[in-house]
Amino acid sequence: MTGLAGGKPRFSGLFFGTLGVGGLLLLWELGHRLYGSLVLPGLDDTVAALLRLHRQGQIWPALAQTAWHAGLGWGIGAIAGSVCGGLAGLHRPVRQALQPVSVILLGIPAIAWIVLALLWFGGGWAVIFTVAVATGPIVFAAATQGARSLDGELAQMARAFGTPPGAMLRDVYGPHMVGHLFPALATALAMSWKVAVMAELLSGSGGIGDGLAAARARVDTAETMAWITVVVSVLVAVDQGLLRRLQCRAELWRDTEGTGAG
Amino acid sequence: MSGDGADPILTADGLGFDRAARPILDAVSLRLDRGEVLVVMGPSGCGKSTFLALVGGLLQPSRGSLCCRSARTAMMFQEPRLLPWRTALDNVAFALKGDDVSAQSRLARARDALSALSLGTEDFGKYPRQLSGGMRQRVALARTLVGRPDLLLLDEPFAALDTGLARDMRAVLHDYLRRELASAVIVTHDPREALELGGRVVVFSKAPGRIAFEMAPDPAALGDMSVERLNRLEAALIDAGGQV
Repeated sequence: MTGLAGGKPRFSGLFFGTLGVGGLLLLWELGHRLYGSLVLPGLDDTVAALLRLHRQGQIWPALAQTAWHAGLGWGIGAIAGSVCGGLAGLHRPVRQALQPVSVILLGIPAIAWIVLALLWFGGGWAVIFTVAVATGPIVFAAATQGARSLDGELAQMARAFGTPPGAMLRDVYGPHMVGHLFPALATALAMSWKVAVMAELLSGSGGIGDGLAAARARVDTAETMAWITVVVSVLVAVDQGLLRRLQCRAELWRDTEGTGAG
Repeated sequence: MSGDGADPILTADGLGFDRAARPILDAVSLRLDRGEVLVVMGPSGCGKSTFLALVGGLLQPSRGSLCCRSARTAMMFQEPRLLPWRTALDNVAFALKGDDVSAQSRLARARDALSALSLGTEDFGKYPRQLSGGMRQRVALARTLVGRPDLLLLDEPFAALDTGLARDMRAVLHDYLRRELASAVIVTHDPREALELGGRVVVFSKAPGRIAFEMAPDPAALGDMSVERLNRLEAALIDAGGQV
């Protein structure tokens, strides 16, 4: 019975999810028929452009370059945000010093960072810097909150058993922080792709953004849509194939059904 | 003060502790011999839990001296304080993280400790929120005993349990103390439980906590529940400002 009960919502989610995506594709095709290929290319044109880019060997190198820019920027932002946020959560003066800085950084639009980064660094590092500075404050806020809500009683219990620092990190602080950091890291990862593509487009430093810029220069709407499809596909694949699975695994203890009887 | 045998496991001399310049515990002097059970009672806020935290090394004394010669100390709290993201088995094995033994060995010892507390193997892989309150407290007791400590510090460990389960867990504790010749400092509010535990009883006064009354251990070590002993203990608690 459990399997059936668990299967129904999954089937319903799949059904309505497919319905939603199908509706979006229908609207796309309708828009194409109403406004023509120059404004919105048809689904067949987009697929043809996608296949052409694939045959020309453009997709994978561009994807790898964008993944490098987004991944490295996200990694730097995540590490800096986690360390600074952790310290801010544990020490009030650090929090009082860094929180206004984080608010200021969050308030600066990503596009402004791109312009500054192009002047300061140029090329691929401009993209990496922009991603790091756009995602870091998001992780910082989550890490601060996570560290502030650490359970003092659990830490005291662990100290009473003479737990070594490594085990404290792995068994007490780590799992608690993951609960707070994971949603922020996932949001920052999705954001890193979008910011990286935007920065690549403006900086001409390769990647999918460069492909988009070239398609725009040729007024090739079908190719533009093909690149957009690549970006969205990667985001969906990372979200469904990696992030959700990791989250399910990390939060198994929270989601388990049924509690004790007494 | 009790016992004049050599090598006590715990000695406190003029022990005091202040929090935010307010004395919580003052001039506590006592010794605990190996294999001895000390039951600490007193009104709320008299520093009983603070005394345990000082012995457990979680706090540093403000005054006086404290000498603990145990090879291994383990603590159990009123709430189970289990790691919510670890299974029952992993929670028990957690107590051995500081030991130089393999993960397999830690888990094997944790299995034995849980089995000794009558927890079914089907419950070993459950997370704390899947366990009942009584099961959680049994896991906490297993975690306390798995490292075979020679000094146990128990802060009202059975207060939240129903009578039957509390009795069973006391029996497990007694058995352990007898088998391992271990010592224990046990905080309780319940005079009957204090006598059932069969050790020496000290009653702390209102804050700042001082030793206001001391009762020798049950000579038969059987948990003498005589009306005379119970009446004396209850009177001492009322004198100290507590409720019975």
